[in-house]
Amino acid sequence: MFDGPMIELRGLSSRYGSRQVLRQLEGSFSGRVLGLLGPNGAGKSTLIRTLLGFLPPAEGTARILGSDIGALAALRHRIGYMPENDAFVANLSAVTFVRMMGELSGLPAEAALERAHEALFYVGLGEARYRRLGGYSLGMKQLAKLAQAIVHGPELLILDEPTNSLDPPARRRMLELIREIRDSGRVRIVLCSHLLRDVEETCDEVVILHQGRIVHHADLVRERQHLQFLEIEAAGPAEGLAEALRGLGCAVEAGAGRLRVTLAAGVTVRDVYRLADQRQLALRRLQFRRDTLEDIFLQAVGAAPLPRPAATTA
Amino acid sequence: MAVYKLTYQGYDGPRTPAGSRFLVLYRYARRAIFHSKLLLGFFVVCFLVPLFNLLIVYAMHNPAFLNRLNIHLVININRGFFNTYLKYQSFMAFLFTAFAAPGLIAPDLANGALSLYLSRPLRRVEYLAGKFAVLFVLLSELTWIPGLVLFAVQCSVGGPEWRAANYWIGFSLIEAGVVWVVVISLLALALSAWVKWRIVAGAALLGIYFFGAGFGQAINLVLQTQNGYLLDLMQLHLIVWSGIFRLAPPPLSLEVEAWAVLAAICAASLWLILKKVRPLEVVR
Repeated sequence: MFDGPMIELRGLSSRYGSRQVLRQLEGSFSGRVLGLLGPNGAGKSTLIRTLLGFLPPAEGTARILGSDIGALAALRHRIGYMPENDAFVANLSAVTFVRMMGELSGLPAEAALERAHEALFYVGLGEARYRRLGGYSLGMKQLAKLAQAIVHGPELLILDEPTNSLDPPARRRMLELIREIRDSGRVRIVLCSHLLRDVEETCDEVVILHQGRIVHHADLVRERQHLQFLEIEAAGPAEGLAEALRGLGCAVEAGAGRLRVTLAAGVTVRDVYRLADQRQLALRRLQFRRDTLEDIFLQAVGAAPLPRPAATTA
Repeated sequence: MAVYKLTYQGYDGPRTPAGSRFLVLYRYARRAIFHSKLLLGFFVVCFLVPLFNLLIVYAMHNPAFLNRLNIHLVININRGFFNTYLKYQSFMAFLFTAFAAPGLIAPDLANGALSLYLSRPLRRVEYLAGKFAVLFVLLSELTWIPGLVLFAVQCSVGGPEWRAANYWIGFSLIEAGVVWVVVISLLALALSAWVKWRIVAGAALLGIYFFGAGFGQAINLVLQTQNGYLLDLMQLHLIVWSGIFRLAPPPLSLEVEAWAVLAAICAASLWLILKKVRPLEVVR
């Protein structure tokens, strides 16, 4: 399996006619599962379509699994793609459809048939594999799309909104499958979604797109480990406490009686209580938190985080 | 990823040559056409015309057979005979196309399957080659290939003199047949790409054939001209075939124009197909 970066973007721009959708994207992404996040119209699907060669880049280029997208033809058998919208051949049974997709990816007919059965059993459509796709429910169609994307054993799996239109049990099943495929260690995944929980549950790296630009690129594993902070709500003016904490080397953001403090090495919660006591300042709430993906996302796209209920008070 | 293990496994086995992938589409599309009993039945019925012509060839070389039936019939097996055969057989094949062709591209577009095809090691040209190959092979099987069989039978029973004088008819059959098959295949694929409803696409193909003929006749009558033939798909082919079979056609002066119109139909159909067969709808 390829060990280098899964995707490298080098000044990549794309446009639909005169409308520029992607603007000078730069970056190198090496995680096992890369989440593409962004509000509707941010350019997530356009980025995927450009990477797949459906849309020629207006400027710049990109590399997938070490190969330039200009030479995509030799690379496509290493990629599995599950599109966002309905994509199937209605008058074929699921097993014939998945087999045909396997053969189109270069599998010999017998191997394609064998793997079509396996893929459909794997995604949970084993009992329905001889039914026509036109008669499938939305959730079953999504699973059939996943089956055709993995039938040829790709090294890179691109999933565009895989949980769209799924009810909660089907969504949970889809996310379980994605995690299982990820944990097999044989495939790397690009997951495009506007659902933060889907990305948070499956991805270890995230790119946030907004208005065609990358506004945030985060290693979620590292952020989860390190970006813990203390949220303090005081009964009175907290400027003095903020100054004192800064004096101890802590990073403090203050506003409307609330402080967000990243503690410096050697500084503990006891020091915070001591400094507040010295200033006769009552603390209404003191809570350890870390940035959720929602916080990161809202900061990245320039919207204020929503207030959330307290978990620990002091 | 064995069925009983229910775990994901990659694939490390052999792969087919890249140049042969369009044949996968050909195979599946052909199977889908013959999955319909109606189309399979009609395909078989289409062979009645060559069988009838075969009977004529047999009868013309067996006077005893005709005498036994008390039939006094003389038909010259020559260039005109094969031209007439192609004329009737191509009409049958056209009807078959009107039912079979709309199901080739329209369902892929209606269900968004193009993004699946084209995300694989399959280029747009190969996708079209696969779909075109289905019609090309099927229509060839209905038109010039049985014509060649007929010609081969006539060669074997006609004697060396007939063979020496008419060997070129074999090449004419192939040329005339291939021209017809290419034009009709491209036109049918273009309609299949632009009309999502199969029935409407089939009706549109029949409409082009019959309304074109009627409209062309009306122009000829009203304007006292022969240019109306250029709107008639069958007449266009008959004009071209008359040149290929070295016959004296009624509107001889239109042969160059007829070739030009057929080339324009092919170019326009190809342009329409390429315009529509894309992995995504471009929003402007």
